[in-house]
Amino acid sequence: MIIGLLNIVLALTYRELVWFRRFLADYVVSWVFTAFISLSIILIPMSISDVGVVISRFSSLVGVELDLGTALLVSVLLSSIVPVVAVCVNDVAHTIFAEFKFIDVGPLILESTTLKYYLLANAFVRSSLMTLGITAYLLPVLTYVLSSYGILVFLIVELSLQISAMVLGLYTTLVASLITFYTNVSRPWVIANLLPPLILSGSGIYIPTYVVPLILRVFAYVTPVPYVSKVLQVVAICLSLPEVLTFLTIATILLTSYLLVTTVFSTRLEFRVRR
Amino acid sequence: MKVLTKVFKLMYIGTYIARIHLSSYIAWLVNSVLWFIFIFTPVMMLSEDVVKAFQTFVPGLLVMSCGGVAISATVEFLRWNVNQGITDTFRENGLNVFAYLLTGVHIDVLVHGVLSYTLLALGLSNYLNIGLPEVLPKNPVLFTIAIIALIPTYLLIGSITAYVYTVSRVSSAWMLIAQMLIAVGTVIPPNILTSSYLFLVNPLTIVAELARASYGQNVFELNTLLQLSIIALPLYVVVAYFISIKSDEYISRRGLEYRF
Repeated sequence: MIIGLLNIVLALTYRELVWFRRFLADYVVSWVFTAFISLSIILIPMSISDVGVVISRFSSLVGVELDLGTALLVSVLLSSIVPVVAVCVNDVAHTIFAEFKFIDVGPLILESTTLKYYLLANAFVRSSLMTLGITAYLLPVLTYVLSSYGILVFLIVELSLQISAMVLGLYTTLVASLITFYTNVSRPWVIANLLPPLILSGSGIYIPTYVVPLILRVFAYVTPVPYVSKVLQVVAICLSLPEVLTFLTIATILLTSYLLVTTVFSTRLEFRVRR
Repeated sequence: MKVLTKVFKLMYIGTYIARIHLSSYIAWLVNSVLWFIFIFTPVMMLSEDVVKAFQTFVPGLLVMSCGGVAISATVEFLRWNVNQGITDTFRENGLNVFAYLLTGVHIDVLVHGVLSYTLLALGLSNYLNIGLPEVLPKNPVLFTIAIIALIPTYLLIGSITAYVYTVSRVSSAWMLIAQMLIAVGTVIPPNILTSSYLFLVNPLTIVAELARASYGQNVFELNTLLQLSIIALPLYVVVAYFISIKSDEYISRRGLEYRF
């Protein structure tokens, strides 16, 4: 049983590494896109406002007095959650849609392993490896800005993002499995594409959550995104252990809950799909 | 008259193609509005004057969004239609890349321009408590001119994209970089450099300035802007037509590699 699971993990890891090489240009573009967002949010307002006003407003949003350099660093770290959400949700969902709905390699997968193992491995391996690839730019950036302390910050950020990515992977697996196996939607990717902006705009990230309408917050608060954004904010300014530990506790609860639900759900789904 | 009939026929076909993809259009619309709200709410909140920020950045965003769609629609067209041989059918009937761009331009400008702008404006005004009089353009005529001006600009951006994608081996991922670059002059107003005229390198700048002028937030002087538009916009159509012919000649002679 364990060897079977290990084989799927190895197969998915191999595929992900090959795809990383094949789609390197897309990874580079995503790094540029993330940098573009993080700089735009601070620098665009400066085109019509005084630099001091923009920084002081950003400081009041974060809750700590910042200078321009630290404000940009906070923005860079906060924006790192954007590609993680976009990639994890889209790719985990699209793999399930493609393999069981369009390319129809589902029977092949069911011959080699159980659906439960496949869905769980897909949720964990794809999210984790893609997050590593999509946030790789943070290591040189943080090392350049914070020198050796930057490595420690990177490790904390990466750990927080990895846990968030896994929860997002499981969350997406549930949604994508429901769409694939229980509905007859002809363009399921439309729903998957809608989830990242829903989660991100519901989480606030750069803005206080009370500004966000309740309907959007509902989508966001069942994911770790609003909680991880607090950690990213704090880590950029000072290493606050209580904030990190609070996040880790919430993330572990979310991860365990999603793992439990996905395991039970995929076991039942397996019976239905095989029949 | 014959040319106009041809244009309307192409737009009629485009309307029916769009009807087939209605669900994708609706999803794309909601999707882009949510992304813009996520990125632009903090931009507005960090600005000194929220109303001025809305009237400066959001009209620019409308234009940037249409330019971005021109780029992605062209790459999609080349990738899928060349691969499926549909461009050959187009060519056999005397139609080139320009004709394809014409089929979708009115839908893209309406959906990604006007509709997404309206939804975004309503969303942001709700988020930031901006009153309706500030959200609506002060000069609707100028705003309408900006929307109409989007059509030739869409054609030019699309044909330039088609040419670059055809004659070079750039992947479509790099087209996303181009979509980010067109923010300069549109979302980012042309006042950050000493010479604003440098921003005219981006063909979308004139249209963005027209849209901003409808709110009274233009950087270029209004008379200069209108004179520039009268010269530039017809020129955009002519240049777009000839660039499209060039990329079509290239496809018919050498084909096009199917690539992402």
